Amino acid sequence: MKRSDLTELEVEQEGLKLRICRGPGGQIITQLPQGTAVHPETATAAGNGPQPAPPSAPAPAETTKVEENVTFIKSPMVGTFYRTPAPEMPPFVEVGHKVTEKSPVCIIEAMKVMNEIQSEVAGTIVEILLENGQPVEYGQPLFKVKKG
Amino acid sequence: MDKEAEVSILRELLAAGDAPVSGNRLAETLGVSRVAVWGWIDRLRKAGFALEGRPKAGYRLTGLPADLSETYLRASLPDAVLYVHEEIDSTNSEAERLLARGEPAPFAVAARRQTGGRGRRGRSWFSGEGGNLCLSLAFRPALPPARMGTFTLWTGVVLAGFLRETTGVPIFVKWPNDLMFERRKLGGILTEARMDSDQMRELVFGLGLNVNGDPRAWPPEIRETAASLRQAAGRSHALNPLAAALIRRMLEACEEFFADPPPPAFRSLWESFDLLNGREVGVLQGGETLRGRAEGIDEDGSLLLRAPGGRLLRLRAGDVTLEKEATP
Repeated sequence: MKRSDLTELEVEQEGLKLRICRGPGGQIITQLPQGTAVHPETATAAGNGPQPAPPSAPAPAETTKVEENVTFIKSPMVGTFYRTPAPEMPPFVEVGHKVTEKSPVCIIEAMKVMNEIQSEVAGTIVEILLENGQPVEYGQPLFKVKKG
Repeated sequence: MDKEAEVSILRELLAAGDAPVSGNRLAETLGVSRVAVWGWIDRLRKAGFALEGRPKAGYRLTGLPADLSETYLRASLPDAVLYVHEEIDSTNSEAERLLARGEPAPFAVAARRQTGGRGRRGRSWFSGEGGNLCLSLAFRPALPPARMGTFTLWTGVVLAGFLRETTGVPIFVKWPNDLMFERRKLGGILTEARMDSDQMRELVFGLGLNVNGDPRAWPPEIRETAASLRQAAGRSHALNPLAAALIRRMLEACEEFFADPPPPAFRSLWESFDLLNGREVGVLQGGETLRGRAEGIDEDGSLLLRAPGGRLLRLRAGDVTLEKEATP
């Protein structure tokens, strides 16, 4: 997954849905929908590296650190992701931009509250993981940042 | 310093109500000469306050300025931190600048006119040539972001309740927080926050309220969709007392919301203000319109929409429009 630059992979087969995404710190997160019965080998086969198979019920993430010095800015809430302060304005950040702990990086709109999210980490934006206007979940990675 | 003296005199006159206050008493209270009092009374008159002066009895306040008055707001809200402007780009933008500068919060920013009033995602807010309210309240609540889910609904129902009581206009809330008279918009709320992943840092609650404006004279694109309290009630409202009471009520309501424990569930309260309940609506969500019947909200504040097939959808975002009512 790291090699392919994939950030998210969703496989659906015979009623089984498996979602894998790269989590904070470059970890691989394997997610199974709640209550899904799964053969352990299915999960490990799709994963990357020597992590054990996730348990079969509500799947807590099993993680492995695969990338040094890289972190993620995550969404603090459920809402809609916006890269710009307003539609006609340029994005807060682009790939290659340097950010400090206080830099605003995006807006998450939740119940008509426009929440400006701060980077919390100093570094360089290396990847923007969502399109403007997409829905986001709590804890979902938004930006990949190289620290320093 | 002059401003403060004017505020103090007005405060004395407001406290006395209909009773006159003697020039001597004003001079004593403020520790100044009677001549100085005359000067300040004169300035209050020039600012639009009607003051009846009777020899021996003293001064009585008989009328207030029609436009927003900094002196009035300061006299009525001695404990609040206020920034009042003749004209500003946007009270929300100004509140954000003051927070960024490190000014102590909570505080209120009010203006007679806005040159760049803002709505959601680049929309503009038209507030006319005065007589309306442009207000922002700023806070630094130390709250986890998850606690903010129902803030929008809370402020909407508190405001609608306050305005029903003070104006008698049957105001409803269109989910999540547009203030409506019938099918037209009386007031809009724009809440903007700054946060990192674990905590809210700054919060600005902005309100544009059409008080004494005449929407018939407004730009064509909003003439049919906007309403003012004056139009709805058939009479104008004293802007300054309304603004002062509204600032007091909303500062309280926000602090109540931020407190631990937060206010109890207000779903039942919501019901008495819900414009949409039981009506056919369209909800525009990411370029797609969902249609169905609105059935109130859930505990999280999501809009419940009964789709034509009978499925119940819980919506957390979208622009709601009321479908045209079938003529009976």
